[in-house]
Amino acid sequence: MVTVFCGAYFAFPGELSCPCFGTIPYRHCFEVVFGQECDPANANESPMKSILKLWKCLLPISLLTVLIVLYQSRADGSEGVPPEAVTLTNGLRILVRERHTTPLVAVSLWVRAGAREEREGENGCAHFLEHTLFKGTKTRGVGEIDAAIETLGGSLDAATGPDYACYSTTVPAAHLSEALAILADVVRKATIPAEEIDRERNVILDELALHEDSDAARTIDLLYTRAFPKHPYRFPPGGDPANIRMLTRDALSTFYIRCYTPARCALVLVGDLSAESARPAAEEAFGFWKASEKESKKVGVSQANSAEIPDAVLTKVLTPLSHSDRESAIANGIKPPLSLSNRAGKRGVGIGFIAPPASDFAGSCATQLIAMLLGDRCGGRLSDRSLSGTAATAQFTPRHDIGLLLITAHPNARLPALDSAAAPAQPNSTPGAGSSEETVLLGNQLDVLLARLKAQLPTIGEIAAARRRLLARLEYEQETNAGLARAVGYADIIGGEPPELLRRRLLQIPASEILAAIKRIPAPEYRVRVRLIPLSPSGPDAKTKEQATDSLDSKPRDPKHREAPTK
Amino acid sequence: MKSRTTLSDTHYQNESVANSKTPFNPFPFRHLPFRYLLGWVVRRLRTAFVGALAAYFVFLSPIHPQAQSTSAQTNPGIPMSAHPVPAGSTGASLPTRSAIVLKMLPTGVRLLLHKEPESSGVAIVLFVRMEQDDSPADRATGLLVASALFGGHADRGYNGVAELAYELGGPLETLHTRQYVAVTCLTTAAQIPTAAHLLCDSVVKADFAPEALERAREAIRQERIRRAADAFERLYAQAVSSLRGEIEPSEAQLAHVTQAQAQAYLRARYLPDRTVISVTGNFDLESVIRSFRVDCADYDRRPLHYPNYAPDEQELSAKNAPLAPVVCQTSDAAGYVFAVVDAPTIGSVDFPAFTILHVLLGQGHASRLFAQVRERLGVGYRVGTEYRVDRAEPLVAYLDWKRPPELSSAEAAALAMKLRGLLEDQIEALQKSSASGSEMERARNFAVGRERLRHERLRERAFLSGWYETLGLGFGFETGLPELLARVTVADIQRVARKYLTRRVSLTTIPTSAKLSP
Repeated sequence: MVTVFCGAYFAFPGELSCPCFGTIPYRHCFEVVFGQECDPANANESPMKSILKLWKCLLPISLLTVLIVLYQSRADGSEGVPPEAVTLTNGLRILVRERHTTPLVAVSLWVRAGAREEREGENGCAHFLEHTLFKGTKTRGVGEIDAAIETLGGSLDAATGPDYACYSTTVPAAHLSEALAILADVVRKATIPAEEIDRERNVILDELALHEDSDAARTIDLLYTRAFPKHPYRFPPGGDPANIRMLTRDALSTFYIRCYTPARCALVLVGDLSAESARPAAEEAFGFWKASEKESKKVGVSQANSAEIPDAVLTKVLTPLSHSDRESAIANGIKPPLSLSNRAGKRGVGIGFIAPPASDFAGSCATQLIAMLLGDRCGGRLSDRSLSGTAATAQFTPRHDIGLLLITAHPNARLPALDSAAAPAQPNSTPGAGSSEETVLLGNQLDVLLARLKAQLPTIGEIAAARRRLLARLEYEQETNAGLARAVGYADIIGGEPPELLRRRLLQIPASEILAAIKRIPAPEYRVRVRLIPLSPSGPDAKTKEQATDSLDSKPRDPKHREAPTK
Repeated sequence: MKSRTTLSDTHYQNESVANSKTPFNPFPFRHLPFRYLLGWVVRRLRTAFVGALAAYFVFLSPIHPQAQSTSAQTNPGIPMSAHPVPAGSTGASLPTRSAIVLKMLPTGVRLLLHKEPESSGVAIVLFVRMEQDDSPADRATGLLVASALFGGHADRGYNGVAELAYELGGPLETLHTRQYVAVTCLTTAAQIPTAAHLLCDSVVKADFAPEALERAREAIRQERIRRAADAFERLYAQAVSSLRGEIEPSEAQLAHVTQAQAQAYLRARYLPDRTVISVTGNFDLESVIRSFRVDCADYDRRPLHYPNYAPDEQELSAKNAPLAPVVCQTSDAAGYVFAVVDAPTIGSVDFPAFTILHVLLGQGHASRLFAQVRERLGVGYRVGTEYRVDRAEPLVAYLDWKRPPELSSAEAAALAMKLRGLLEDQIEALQKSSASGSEMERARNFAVGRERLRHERLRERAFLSGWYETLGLGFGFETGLPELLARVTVADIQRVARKYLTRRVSLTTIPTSAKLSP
């Protein structure tokens, strides 16, 4: 009742309708509002008399409603807007998100010291250093760092990516200051003991071997190598095993001094704390970390890397290349398919499209939705029956300089006998003569599906489902304090959109923008493609572990290129 | 304070002026100067503001969950906890979660409701406790029944059930263990009636048509393929079954399960008094109770006679056979070492001490295995222990490593044996020597920290309270568990070490890397 009346009261249509008082002529409403005097002699005859008597009580109710509406609209406007980051005098950024569901705080320190910062001969330094920082500081010996943080109830973890190195833990809120002090000690005062380097080298090699065991990880590494032949994104973030074997303490120290400076760091705190209490705690731990002027200037190195991306690629992000541009595009990095013959029995195909960098918020958001539209075997276009028996998936992770929309497909593992549980471990697939044809066929099936995506553009329902799935995934990933800290820190380090704003954009991005981005997906000959083909152990080149060859798919589009024979 | 007095004075002044002019005039400002008009507006605004505040607290603020009043102590239907929650406080307890409401439905199903107004969704977990030991054939039936619960029924075919599941908007997953079957779904408050309908129909009406059973067999097969493709998971399962003398139902056993057997199993084992439904999230309490009351009305069955399984001699001898270490060669480049020991279930009084022992041995980067094997030798990226207590599995200590290409087969074999020795030495050491004070402090705090982290997700919170309730510990068990962990002593550790670590089995694989070796 109140709302209707209130709405009528302020809208001033020619004739107002109110459930309590019936139809009120415009003229009388105007009188009510502007207080035109009523004639007391005609008071009994006036249909407005009862309204006038109630005026004194109705006005506060109306105002109350207005206030509630205004309050709610204000709340809607401010909801989801992340708090501003605070920058300490030394350049270190502090990002805080309050969340009081559990008495825990997730602490993560993001350093712009990923594989992207590695120079010639330094490949693997970022990852190696991430392992070695735990090996002791000026005040703590080997093992003491972990023991200290675990005594607080947390566990210190670390990760290295193309754009970052990240150190994180989750501790009870009461121990935040101690955890920050330990973390500051690790990144500021690491001693990188020489005797620990060789020991850790073996652990890293074990880790890389584990990574290479994954068909999907191997395919993705190859796609990046293929897509960015000049940019540091071509290197796997973990490093190449051959390089890891050769890295010295000097190389690690040089990288450490160059990249571990406060101006390159973002400290993310999520959980049961307040922004007011977070800053002094962070300042106490990291405030004394001074960066020399020389080191601060080196921050510019990361920007220099962006210049290594060919302009032709940057300007033609998700844009089909004309035939005249093709040669230059190939020269700039978009090359014909790469076939990798391997002895580990891996099979699969990968296709990549150059995508916008993280700083292009709208483009990056649209690309994430395209990846979700393509989906995987559980939903989306890649759940098509033609790909049954295959683990096909599309994914897009924004990166600082430029992105790559990835579509990978791997035939499901084959097992000789499921019931023989005691059988010794076997290679996870059997190399066969038909594997090459199988991967070519798989690549063609992906091409057909991608062509269909452009020819039969997604319906509004499909887009809505993709939007829902992506939002649900983000919701799940960011449900924990550590998950939200990861999202906030990653967005900050790559110059992307904070998670709160990304969620809002995902809700608001128009379908037309997504369809326009789909239309810009390049033609098959301008995609980056790789194939993993198992090599028979009894073949003529059995001593060769892996062989990579440039080849085109079964239907070459350019007479200059032919499919190389698979070895 | 001063400014308040001034405002109040102004108010009374304006009020008296207005009253002196006219006793009732709804439009006083027409005849009055501007300052009176301003006073009149201020009064109305203030009245409206107070009204708005009152309206907010009356109508818009969330109902405080503490106002809901039922608990394990007041409900006679809830079994007592096996672990007495200590009275004293060392500050390790989880903060008390807002009250969990336990509602007993007429059929005997226990409904645990935990309203969390700040959550964006709802997690529902349906548990059915499995009380009896199963024969190998029954194990196959049980697995197949759990996998085919959503395969359709007379009222709604497979596609109909799938459509209903899709409407939930979140995942729908079934977990089958020796102790219980748990069905978890994530949804929104609006879809709770759909979820209630889907879950209750599955335990009441599932008819296990041949095609539904076939789909379930295929799903089990695919899951095994996925798991077997991961060498670590495959060998882990093999090591566990070596200790227990049990193996998973084979494909042949699964193939022999008929529709009648599956239906009989459902009627005998899926009983309302063994069922707990845990709902956590943002929802309306009354409507949830109403939904489940209506949908569970037909879930009113009494236990049929189902004889307890008595293992035959052959099976008993296999279970009690002396455990010999297993060593096998693989053509892979990866080598694995597993050592498996028996472990208490969550309901055992040994559980808190064993949890701390598990942390001492292999949880965290300062644990004995990590420090003595990976940090000292520089071997193995994955080193530690696993104690999947929610699946009633034993404790598994593991290590995996990659054979460097320059290592010969003989050297690889020697290294594998050395690693196995190191792993077993650490297990032995826990029985012989006591842990230091700093080690114990780390282990206790680490265990409490892990326990807190387990409550971060909505679905985990729904699962944990429902799980404790299902196993007879009472849903309040989670509140006191950190306290129990924080009170474990060195003597407790030694006691459980001697009790559980003596009988063990080890499994070692030697990477011969045929493709690399000469």
